[in-house]
Amino acid sequence: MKCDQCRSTLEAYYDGELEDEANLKMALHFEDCAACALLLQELKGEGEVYLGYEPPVEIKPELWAMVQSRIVEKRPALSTGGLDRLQTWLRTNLAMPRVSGWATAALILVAIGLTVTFMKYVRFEDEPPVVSFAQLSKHSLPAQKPNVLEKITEGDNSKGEKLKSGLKVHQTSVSNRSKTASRAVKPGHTPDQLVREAEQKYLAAIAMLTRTVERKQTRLDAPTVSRLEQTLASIDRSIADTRKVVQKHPSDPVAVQYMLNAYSRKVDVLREMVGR
Amino acid sequence: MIDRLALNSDRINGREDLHTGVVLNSAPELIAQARTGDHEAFRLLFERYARPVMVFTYNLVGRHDVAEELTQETFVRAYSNLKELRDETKFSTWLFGIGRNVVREWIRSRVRSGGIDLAGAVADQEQSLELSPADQLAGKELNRAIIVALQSLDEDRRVVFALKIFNGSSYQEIVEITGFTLAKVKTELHRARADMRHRLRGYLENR
Repeated sequence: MKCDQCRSTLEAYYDGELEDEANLKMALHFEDCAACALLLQELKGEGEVYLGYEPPVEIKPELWAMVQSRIVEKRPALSTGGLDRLQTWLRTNLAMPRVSGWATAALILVAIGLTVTFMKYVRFEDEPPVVSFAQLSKHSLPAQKPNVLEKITEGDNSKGEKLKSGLKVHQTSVSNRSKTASRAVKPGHTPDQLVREAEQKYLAAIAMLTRTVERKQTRLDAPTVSRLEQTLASIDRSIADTRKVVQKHPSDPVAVQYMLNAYSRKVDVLREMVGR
Repeated sequence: MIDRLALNSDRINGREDLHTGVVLNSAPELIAQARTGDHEAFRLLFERYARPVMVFTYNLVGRHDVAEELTQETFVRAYSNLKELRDETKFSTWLFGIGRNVVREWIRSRVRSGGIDLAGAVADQEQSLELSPADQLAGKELNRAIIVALQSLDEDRRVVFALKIFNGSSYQEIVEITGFTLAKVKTELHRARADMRHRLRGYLENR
């Protein structure tokens, strides 16, 4: 590198704006060229002087009070796009719903119910094979009614086949189990939809509980809050990890079970915090 | 959520420490809440960015009272236009862009109304201050020299220099804040450095 080139990029080098390769070339040049190295030293010296500059700026509490008094009557300007309106509506109506404690409890129960139902559905896999899916649908469900389990898999053959092959029940309880399955799955709902629905219910419950926790936090001491935070952080990591697995393998019932269990644990911890 | 719990844990201990919230809540999260009209979220954004914005405006106008007024205006405009912010991760750049426009409008309005000459006003104001030896030791003399030198720079040059040297903005951020080309940013910065070097040579030689 020549001195002219070096000096034209000296400030960018000092400002940390060069790529690695250019930085290396500059550094090598400074080792060989005392004149350019001196210019760099001067630049560094100036930088140190500027570091000593402390503008007499003080943020007085009244400054925020003045800002607040001016924005209190305003709301952030809304754009007119449909998507923006939808986002705003979702944010204001769903993200942080303002509902009573009873409604919160009801939502939690719904979420738990969905989870239990889903778990029952998933556990079919763990039991010994006695009756095939085809036999089940032929013998246990009324012929004139549409087979709800078939409906589950409509429109998603690959997942449907997987679930069919995994669906094994005891012969003695075929009828009961098929009734359970009928109750568990709404006609037209795929397993993915059910999982999403359960997840949404959990998220709604978590959001509401979090707000309640925030309102009631003054009753907790710092060590307790710290311990609960650690627990929640651990659960959040579990949720994040299991969600990734579920996203990769959406038809894997074990992954789904782990994910919903993690949500359930978070709801339990938050309920404990609310109850304290 | 964890962040908010941590924030509240300080309140539990009786420490209404605003800065805890400043550290723990991410700007995108606060922006999303502020957009719904949540003043508390916007207050946390204010807590985080008020000082850098006021330092910026002070460096451009050289007067604390005016810098305070312009900082206030910057945040009011930011709140009113939050919906226009497309990328929440660039809130700081966007906010400084507003601040730069507010300062520019103020300077132009003063010039139109036959107002002050910034450099002269600051020089007069600062020269009227008697600095004690303790003040000099505390670097107030240097502060005075720098702010006077800054006000003597051409406006574009002053903006670029202040952003780079005192706010630590990258070249690209300065491009986004000012709307200048990268080449202009580099040129103005180089010239500003040279001007400041000339005006502060007494300090630079004796350091």
